[in-house]
Amino acid sequence: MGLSCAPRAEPPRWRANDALRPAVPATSTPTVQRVLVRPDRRDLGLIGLYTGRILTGLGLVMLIPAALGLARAEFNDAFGLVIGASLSLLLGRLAEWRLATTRDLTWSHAMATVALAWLVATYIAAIPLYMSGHYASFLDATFDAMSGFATAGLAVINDLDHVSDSINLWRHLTQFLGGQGLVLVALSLFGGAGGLAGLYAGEGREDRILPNIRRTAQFIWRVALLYWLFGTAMLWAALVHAGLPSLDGLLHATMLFMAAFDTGGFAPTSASLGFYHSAVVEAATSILMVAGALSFALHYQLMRGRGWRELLHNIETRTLAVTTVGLFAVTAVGLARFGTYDSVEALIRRGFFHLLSAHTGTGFGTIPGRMFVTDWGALAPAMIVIAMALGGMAGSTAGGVKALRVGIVAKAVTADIHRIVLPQDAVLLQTYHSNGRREILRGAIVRTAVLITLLYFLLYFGGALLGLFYGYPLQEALFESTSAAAAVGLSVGVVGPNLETGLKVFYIFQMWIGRLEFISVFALFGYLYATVRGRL
Amino acid sequence: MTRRTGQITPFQAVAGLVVVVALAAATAGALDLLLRRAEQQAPLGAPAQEEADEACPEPVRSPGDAPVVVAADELIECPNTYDGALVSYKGEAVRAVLRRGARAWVHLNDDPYALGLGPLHEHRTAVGGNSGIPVSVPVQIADGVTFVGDARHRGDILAVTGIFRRADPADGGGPTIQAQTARITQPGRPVGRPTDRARALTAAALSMTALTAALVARRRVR
Repeated sequence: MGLSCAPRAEPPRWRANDALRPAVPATSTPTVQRVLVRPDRRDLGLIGLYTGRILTGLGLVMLIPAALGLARAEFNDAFGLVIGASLSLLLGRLAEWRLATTRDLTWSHAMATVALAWLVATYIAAIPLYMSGHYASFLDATFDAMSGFATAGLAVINDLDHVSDSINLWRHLTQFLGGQGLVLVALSLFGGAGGLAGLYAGEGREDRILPNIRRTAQFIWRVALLYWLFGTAMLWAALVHAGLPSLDGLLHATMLFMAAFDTGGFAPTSASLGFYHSAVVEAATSILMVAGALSFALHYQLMRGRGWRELLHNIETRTLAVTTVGLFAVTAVGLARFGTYDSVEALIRRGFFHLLSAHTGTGFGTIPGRMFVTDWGALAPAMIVIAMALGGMAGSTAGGVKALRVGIVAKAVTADIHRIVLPQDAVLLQTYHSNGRREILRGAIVRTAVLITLLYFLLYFGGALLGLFYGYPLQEALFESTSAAAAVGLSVGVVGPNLETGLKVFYIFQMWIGRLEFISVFALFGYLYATVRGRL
Repeated sequence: MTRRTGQITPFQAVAGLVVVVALAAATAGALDLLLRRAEQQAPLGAPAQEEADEACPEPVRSPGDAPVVVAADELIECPNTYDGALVSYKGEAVRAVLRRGARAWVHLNDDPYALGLGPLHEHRTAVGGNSGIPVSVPVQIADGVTFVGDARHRGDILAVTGIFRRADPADGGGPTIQAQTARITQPGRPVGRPTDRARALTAAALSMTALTAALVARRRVR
């Protein structure tokens, strides 16, 4: 199934991801036609089976905040979480009962499974949120659930400051699950017969850290666990130092860790990080935000003792260093032009912190979001938008275009300029350093990087156009759209409980497709199309 | 063309999609019913749209003037207007009091959940998100705060008079009010949330069903 070219005589059974393969030149096969094969029950059953396994993992995790709710006597919210967990486990087990098979997942099955599982998981995750009574509609709860899984951090919740600890923990757990990868959770719990590479790649992960996907998943969990121990302890100490009681400090530290390391941006209070009035807390979260924006492949290199060499040579760390310094310089000029801050401390704690929060795709704030509009002028917020659009490293929990693609496109442009300057017969071989080895910059790599970059910018502008349609100024419409599509979570006040329904739906779509980096969502659409229009 | 075993017709595909969407909508509807029954209130309506922005007034900076009564939204929308001005502000202390030597930070919300209707689950009237401003108060006042707003409490309401800073150096550039005077105008209280029996029964029934399904699936897979 899928859309591709095949000789008329023997139409092969293409799969959806064949659309990603280079097209066969028309001159080499003059008699070709597009063949779209309709998936059968076994195809859909396989997708359903793996979606069910992911739901089983989700249901088990949902029992954690339910236990907290029972322990804290938040019974109604605990029951809501149990209802959600039970439905999730029920669907998962029913899938296992009815659809169990020894067939392996193909790449296209895996891609469609990831996209579908994210939708179904979002629906299930929204159940306890909605039952908390803090959402005006199920759509609003779905918005926050997708925002959590996509590690965006945009929220339309009402009266956050009176939300129970168990629901707050569940909001943050959605970020942890989404950041680590819903599929990765299921892979770690249940594994699978085959096709795991497709599931892994379907969540926007490009780097194969270890030869075996399951070992890669285990490594990612080990890194997350290590940072969880280190990060929660660090944040706990910082929060107690800031004045929080010990137990509240531990709970806030756990939630802030999930939001920081998985570049999510939810916070336990409506004032985000501004609630704590602490440079130490901001520094601790900054460390975790940066750690979250680094790829797990880089973490692997760091743990193997190749840290400094890799940090200095890696195309992504170089790109991030250049963009961070450049964007901050312009932000500082913009803030100085409007006289927003008059001390270096304020420039760092407000200007640099928000730039870092945007660039890593986290979305923590230390000032109310409206002040980007009312107190920051025009240039500095524009730099925040660019930082959000670019994002962190590929293979990290950050969203956006990603530093790898930005670096590759920049190198390609530089190479083209060199070619113009060099003698006509000169052969220019451009390389880049990634994941501990030097790669040749090939045309296909550049083409893919440009294509994905273009898709992201179309997504940003699409959301901005809809914002304009609803009457928001361009600056605000672009800010919110970029924040949603790049899974950042900073807001100038457009996203909130009053957000228009059309924008809610489109931002949910943006967060979904932006976090999964397009391909798996395209594969799911391909399946749907082929189911209706494909040939038998 | 012959149909192979397991092949799906377009009609079946569309019908299947419709059934899935209908099931999802029915589940959401059942949850809504459960929620409404528990709260015995109308469902949350869409919050009213905010009024169109108005232009900010001229800066208020005369030191001898009486304090200007302000809301958090006004301070955030027009920070330059009130920067350095003596303001009077009232709000509910939420989440925690952070003590720092002789002073303490209290985050005061002045939205309807704080000053008007109370916490959302008491009235089920959605009026948007929280709005508030951090206030630095003398630690003696902070010591008098008995309740802070959270899921189990409605926080104390404090009325403060102090200087608003758009970018307070004492907070590393954040917007704050440095209170000169502060008093608790309305003490907070615990908020009761009676256990919803219907929800408890639904949770028990569904969890038992899920457990049964897990056991059956395990046996079948074996």
